[in-house]
Amino acid sequence: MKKWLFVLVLLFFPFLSPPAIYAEETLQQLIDETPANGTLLLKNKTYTGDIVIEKPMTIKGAAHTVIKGSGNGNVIAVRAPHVTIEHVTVTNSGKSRSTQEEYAAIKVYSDYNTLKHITITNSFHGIYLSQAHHNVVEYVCVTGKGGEIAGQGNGLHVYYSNFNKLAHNTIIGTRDGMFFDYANHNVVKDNDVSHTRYGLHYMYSDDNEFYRNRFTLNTGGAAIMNSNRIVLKGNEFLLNKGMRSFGVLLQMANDNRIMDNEFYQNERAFYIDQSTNNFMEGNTIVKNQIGVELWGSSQRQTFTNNRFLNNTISVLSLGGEGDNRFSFRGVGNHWGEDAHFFDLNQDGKGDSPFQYKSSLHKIVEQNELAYLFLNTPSIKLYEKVNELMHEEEVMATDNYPFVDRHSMPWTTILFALVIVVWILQYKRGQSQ
Amino acid sequence: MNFIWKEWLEISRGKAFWFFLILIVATSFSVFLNTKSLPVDEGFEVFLLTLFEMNIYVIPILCLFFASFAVMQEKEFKTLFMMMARSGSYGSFLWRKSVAVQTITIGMFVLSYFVLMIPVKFVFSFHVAHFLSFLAAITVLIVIFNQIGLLLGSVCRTKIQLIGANLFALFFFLYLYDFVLLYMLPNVTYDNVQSFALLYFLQPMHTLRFFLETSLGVFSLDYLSRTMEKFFSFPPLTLVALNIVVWVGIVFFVSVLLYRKGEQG
Repeated sequence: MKKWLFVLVLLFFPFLSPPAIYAEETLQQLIDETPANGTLLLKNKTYTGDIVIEKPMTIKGAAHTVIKGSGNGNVIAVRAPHVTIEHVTVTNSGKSRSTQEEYAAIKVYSDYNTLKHITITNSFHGIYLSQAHHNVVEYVCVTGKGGEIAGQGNGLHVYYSNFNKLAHNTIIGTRDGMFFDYANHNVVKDNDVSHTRYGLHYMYSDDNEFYRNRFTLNTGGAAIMNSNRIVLKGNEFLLNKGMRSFGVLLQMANDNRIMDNEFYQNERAFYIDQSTNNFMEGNTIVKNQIGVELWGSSQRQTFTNNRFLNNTISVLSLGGEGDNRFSFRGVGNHWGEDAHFFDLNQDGKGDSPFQYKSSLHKIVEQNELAYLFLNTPSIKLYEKVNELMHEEEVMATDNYPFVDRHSMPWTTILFALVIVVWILQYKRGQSQ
Repeated sequence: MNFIWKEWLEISRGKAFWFFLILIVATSFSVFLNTKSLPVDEGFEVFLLTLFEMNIYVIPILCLFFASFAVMQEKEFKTLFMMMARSGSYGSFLWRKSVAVQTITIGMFVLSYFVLMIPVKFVFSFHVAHFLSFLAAITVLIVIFNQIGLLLGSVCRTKIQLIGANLFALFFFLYLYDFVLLYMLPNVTYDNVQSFALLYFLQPMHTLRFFLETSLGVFSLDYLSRTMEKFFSFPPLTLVALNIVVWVGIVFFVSVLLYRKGEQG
């Protein structure tokens, strides 16, 4: 009898004990219980969102801490300043497009916050700064959820937010990698953006600075629209290929400085339309289909000390001539194999102005399908034939072109070597 | 299997084959050296694309010359008639010859690329699927130009004729075909763009480049204009299949037909 009684007590013990002691506290409760400016240490487990942070505090995750949203809103909403969130994985934000606002894994409405070492998956936007200033977002990895483009959000969305720092973030497969809308004076550096529509998308945002970011395999690298006085320095634009792709697009963008960037194997390195007074200096433009596509609506662009190498077309001016300069204060550009001029006084610069000519603008203006032929050998033949018929036109005039000493490529040396050995063998065979 | 072994012995005895192969291996390695400074993640795809761009010039020459001279040699040494007497028809001879030439050239290339991948694996992130897509594109390129070479070998009667025909075929595929298309461009509209696309993609180099770039995920087909969208409406694999049918299947039958006509003449 005693045994049975003991078993019964054991069975009912959990139900007899008071619920407040054993029920799991929600993450929101934990946050609410943490004092202002205190630190909340999270365990290696999955917490359920959505949560709102309304006081300054620090939330630190462990190696496998996950905060999973309800799928109906922002997983984390930061409404107080001086909040730090680090070392967490945030997932499952609301994705509906018929709600009043667009949701994000982390939405920040306040200033002076720090978000770092955060992984974001299965969310509409990754991090959304909404009228939030002086925040730091670094070492954040956002992976897009795929699907149709309209159903995807942006990796980092900066809206009416100024003086923020975005650094060392990795963004893969979102709509736009980083989207700036009416956001000024932000610094963006050392980010890696790939497989997005536009790696960087600017609308009505001025005075931002970009350093050492890498944009790879996007439809477009950086689309700078209706924005002024932006600095792009030391960035890499690689493999942004596709009929409409580009490394940097300047559209209605003025007074921007684009310096020391590297453009490699893009459809176009620069695409400039309806823009004025942009300054391109020290960029390396290698193996792109088009180095610079310059529409007639653009005026007063300056290109100086840029290195054009092995592009199918270095400069393509379309829709009429603009007032653009290809040298500045006596410093022109390096034109690689396109350059044909003398340097008799050996000062490293051409003795006469260099005119880069092409006839391709005519067929490109007539039919966009002409872009399909840029990577074919026939385009060289087409240019040659038009050169003989004097059908080509000046695309760019460089008054102070650099003279490059061409080194013989590896393949040419190898080919020559094989031919020589072959001839020697053949002659030896004949003499025997 | 005997006829493949016989073909291998004949081809491997010639110095030209080895010279060309060494040239291809060396240039492939030089492409690797030129691209090894690229980022680890994307470098492999860039390497494959650059290698493919180089092969577009090299493989057609090699395949056209070796395949066409393989047939010409049979004609010159009169072994063709002996083999035809044994097998019964030119079609049967050409089938065996095609299988032998294709097996040897594909085998050599695939083997050399597998060897090349050993150092590549240490430098870049290796993606098996991407490498297989590259091998598929190269294999189809080899098959097509071998078959065209076999056609030229079947049709031409002298070596001089054959060299001329090979050079013309190269010029045709590398320059002339696109050159004609470029002059057709002003007449292409939204209504006839699909017909133009078919013509464009009947050039095997365009199709294989399109296939490879889409397979590697480096060619974006998003945000195209309506005309471009219609132009790219054929799936890459369908276009590859179309090229195989035209440049391998039809060319095979044309070779037999023209050889017979030549014999009758």
